[in-house]
Amino acid sequence: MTEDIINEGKLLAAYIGGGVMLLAIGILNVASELSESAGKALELYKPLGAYSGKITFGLICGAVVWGILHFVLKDKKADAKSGLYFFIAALLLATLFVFTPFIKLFETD
Amino acid sequence: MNKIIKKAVLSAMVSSGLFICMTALVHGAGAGTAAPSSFYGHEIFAVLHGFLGLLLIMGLMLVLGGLIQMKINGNGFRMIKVGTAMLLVSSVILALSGIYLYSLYRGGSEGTPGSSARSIIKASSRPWVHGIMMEMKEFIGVYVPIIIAMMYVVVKTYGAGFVENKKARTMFTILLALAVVWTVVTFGFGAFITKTVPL
Repeated sequence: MTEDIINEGKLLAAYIGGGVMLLAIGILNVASELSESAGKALELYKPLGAYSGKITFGLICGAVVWGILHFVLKDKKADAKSGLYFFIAALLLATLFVFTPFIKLFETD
Repeated sequence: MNKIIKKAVLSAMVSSGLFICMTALVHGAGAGTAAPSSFYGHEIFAVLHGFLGLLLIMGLMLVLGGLIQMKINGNGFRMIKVGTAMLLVSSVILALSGIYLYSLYRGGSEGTPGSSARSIIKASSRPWVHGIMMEMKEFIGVYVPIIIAMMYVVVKTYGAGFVENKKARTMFTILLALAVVWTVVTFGFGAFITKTVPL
């Protein structure tokens, strides 16, 4: 009964925003591992190397998507279940994207 | 029930403080690594980071206990709400301290090659400890606060209705299970890396 009353728009926005954060971190990691120039561009803080850029830009990407969707979906009726599926898929993909043997499959030289 | 939790948290804090103070009595600890004084800088920070990681796993179990208690007698929502907020704060602190330790692992602010834990592991007979374990740990450790943030948003969205809403409880339990797995794997990798080469 309660399930009909609760507006899940904000939760859906959070799931998508969180999922984008994870995916962005994973994709930036693959990009920096495969392209030296991308790795150098992501080096914001020398002691951390490209890791600093991957985390910073990944979190910013997700936060921007979360913020925009929060305002778009906050008053709309939505089912957060699909958002959870997206978040879980993003988490699994993002974990695969930081698994070095997987990235090595795409290395050309 | 709340009094018991307060007493348990207080006892844990007092005993943790005692162990931390005891480290000051250890003379020359850390000799054999970079320098004897490194124990008071890098190593004690690494020990506290690992200790906080262990507390995070225990906190996740406490929230799981709250879920079970809620199923038995309908209570436990406060424990879940407060527990999830505390987990979120501690996981963020844990990730930030991990990022700082990663900079030391790479060679510190000087970036001196040949003397960092990373270069020692890469030159050893087990370079995969860096190539696979550390490369994964540095990222999946950051994924944990994001998962716990989702848990907190679920609790905040449903509020007191969380107790009666099966869908909310299912979503929360799935996220909790994911947080436990990702935290335990990160913790295990950290323990193995530290066992291979201490900071």
